[in-house]
Amino acid sequence: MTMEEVVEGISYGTKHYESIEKINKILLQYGLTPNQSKIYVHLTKSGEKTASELSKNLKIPRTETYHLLNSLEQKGIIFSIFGKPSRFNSIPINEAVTVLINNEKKRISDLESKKDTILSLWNTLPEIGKQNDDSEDNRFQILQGRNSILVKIEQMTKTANECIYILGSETNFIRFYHTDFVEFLKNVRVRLEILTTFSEKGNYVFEGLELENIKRLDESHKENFSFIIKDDSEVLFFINNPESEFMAIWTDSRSFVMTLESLFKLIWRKSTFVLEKDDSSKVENEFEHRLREIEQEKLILNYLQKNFHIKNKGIK
Amino acid sequence: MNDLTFIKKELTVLIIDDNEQITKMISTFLRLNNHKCIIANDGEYGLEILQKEQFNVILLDLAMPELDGYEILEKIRSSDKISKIIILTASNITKENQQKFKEIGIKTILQKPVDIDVLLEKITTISKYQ
Repeated sequence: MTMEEVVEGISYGTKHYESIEKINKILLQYGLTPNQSKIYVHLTKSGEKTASELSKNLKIPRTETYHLLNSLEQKGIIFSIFGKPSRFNSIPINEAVTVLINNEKKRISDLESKKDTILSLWNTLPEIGKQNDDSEDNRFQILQGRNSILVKIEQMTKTANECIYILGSETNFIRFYHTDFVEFLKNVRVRLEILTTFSEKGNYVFEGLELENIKRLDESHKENFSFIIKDDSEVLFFINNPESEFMAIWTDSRSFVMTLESLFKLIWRKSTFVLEKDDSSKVENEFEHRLREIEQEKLILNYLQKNFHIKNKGIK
Repeated sequence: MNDLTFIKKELTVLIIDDNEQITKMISTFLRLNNHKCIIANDGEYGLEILQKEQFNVILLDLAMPELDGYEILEKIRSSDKISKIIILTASNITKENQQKFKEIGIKTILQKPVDIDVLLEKITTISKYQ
């Protein structure tokens, strides 16, 4: 069996294999299962089919195929055509994506509306032999994936009472581009200090933030670590592993927070604000500045000599 | 000779610039064109005299030690004197700052070296708005 037969049942050619794989992968993020995605893509590209044709083409058991068609119909991205046997077809991809987005939005909105209900029900339940929660135990959380890390960053920035310190290379923060990351930072109402590589190519990540809050991280630190500290109480430490999904460890361990905070302050003291130029460009700028002034002096002198026939020495 | 070299209306021009050489030259040039000139070679004195007296035009440098041109603009941004200012600087001005200057009502921003005819023309234009 060839690769393209496994993917689509009919031949799209090997050159489209990667694209189809990518589409399937993206559709998973829109809430479809792998087989739902296969059926949708197949119907959209090959036109209406019966359940049995789909089952045969895609090598999915017939009972499961009916089940999948039913669920896709409920999601609103395919429809059936009455007949004997019934035939199925799909709505165009642009409409389907909109429908799937709206479905997800509705799901989130339903979850939000149920928040109060679950909380009030929760409060009616008695505690069963629960130990005192005010213990000094250090808590740790391992967060996997951009979204869960982002939710934690939102929590930290919204609840900070004194300060938010951020240290890391732009490559780490670029993962949050096109998210609300910068918005969270913009809304921070306490002291915000950011230490980052701030290169010409990557500084767009912090676009919209006050540059007065950003210092340049020395090249020697840039690949090593990234973290966010909230007050003296919490830290989110990013784990850089290109092989695996984006991960971070959150902790309120006092010793961990204090260690990273000391490190941050030490590097912050030694670093320069991104608004400050380094020495060589400062000298260059001063030189250019002086040169322009000399040019200006020359222009005025020439003018005076030309129009009023006075001598340079008379001016000074 | 340029038509603008001698104009009828006598203007009072304040020059705030830490470069003494340039302020002297501009002032000589303006006096020869029948205008009055006051020189301030530092930002603090410039701001003080700017707030006390009336001028038709103010030539303001940006890069100055202690109180610079940006700080002076910040302090007088709500005053009607802002419309009399011509920024005359050898510094690089970012697009962002140019936009900010325009937003607060500054009509003329000149980077040195500026042709002296152009400078005189801008001074005359600013004074005509008053």
